[in-house]
Amino acid sequence: MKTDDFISALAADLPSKPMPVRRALSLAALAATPIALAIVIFGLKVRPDIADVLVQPRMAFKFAVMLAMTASGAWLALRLSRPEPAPGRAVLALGITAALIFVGVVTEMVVLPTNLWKAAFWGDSAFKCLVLIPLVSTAPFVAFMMAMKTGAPSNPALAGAAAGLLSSGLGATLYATHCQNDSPLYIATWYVLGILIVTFAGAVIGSRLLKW
Amino acid sequence: LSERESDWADQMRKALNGDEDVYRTLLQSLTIFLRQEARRGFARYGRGTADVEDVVQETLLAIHLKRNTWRTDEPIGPWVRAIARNKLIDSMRRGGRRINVPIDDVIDILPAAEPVEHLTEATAEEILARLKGRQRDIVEQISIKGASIRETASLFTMTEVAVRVALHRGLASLSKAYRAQES
Repeated sequence: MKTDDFISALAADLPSKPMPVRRALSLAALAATPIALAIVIFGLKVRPDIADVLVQPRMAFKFAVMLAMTASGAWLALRLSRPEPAPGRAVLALGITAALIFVGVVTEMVVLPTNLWKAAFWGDSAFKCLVLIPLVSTAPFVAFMMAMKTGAPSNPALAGAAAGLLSSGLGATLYATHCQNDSPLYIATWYVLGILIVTFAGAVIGSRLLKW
Repeated sequence: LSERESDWADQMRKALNGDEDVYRTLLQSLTIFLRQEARRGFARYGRGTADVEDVVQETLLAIHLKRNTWRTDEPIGPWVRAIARNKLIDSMRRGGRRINVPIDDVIDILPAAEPVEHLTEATAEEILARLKGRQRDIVEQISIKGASIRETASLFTMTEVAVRVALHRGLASLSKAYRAQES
């Protein structure tokens, strides 16, 4: 086929406006958040003392970290959905989140007597997090992955990882309303591990699914 | 920022607002650039120019299908070059199967039962042939035969909307077929 002829077909298809990735991700969030929320509310139950603990520093820290994860994931997913290689400053968001976690952990170690560290670290259900965070993140994961397909990522695996981080950040934020463990020692280990599992799954799936 | 690139950006902005004629002009102007880039890229890696036009078309298709990833307030040059580089690499990967080593040197290490890989990259025609019936007819009508959406619609007694949908699906499958050649 002559390229000029081919151009005619492309020009004729101009009205088929593809959706900007930003909008696709927003729609995915709108569609998936209620599902993930329903799983937390009806499947896991929100912890009964949620209203009282919400203002306590540990719980506030937990939400701050999870929201920071979600925000970094969203920003990275948007940035990495484009064909141009992402600038190094795209990882700055992750650095800020990591710094936040670090400060939380150090503070906890200062205020908490050494003999309580172990109990705070293990919580009441260390491995539950590793299962439930990916579970609550499933609907967001599917939705965000599909949204990312409207993009043209220079590195599909990294873009998939970012979508995984976004999904599990959102999932973990919602899951945090159920989970009774609030110590930064616990969050920095088990939450982060749960999020990493989903992020890794995103990289693996993205490397195939997000090729364009 | 070169004048050519700011022209491209202007044209793309107009195209994204629905100006088909400007879009055609833009794609033609991009073709010239992409052809140069593909020739240069192939030459650098010692490949012939047989597949140049194919890479150009695949890149144009990617630019078209992914035009939503260009942000209208940013320079368009890096975006175009990134897509071109990406598609050139894809093509190299596929073309990388063509090995120009005397067969005697490798015959011992080749597994006996390995099927022979296809030796040339599929041309757009071959790819087009993989599209399903009506999609192929419609892409062919509009590209090779130069028919308009309306003419195609009356030819196949379809609505214009149905033709548009089939055309878009056809182009998307075309892009998928290119990808299927890899791995």
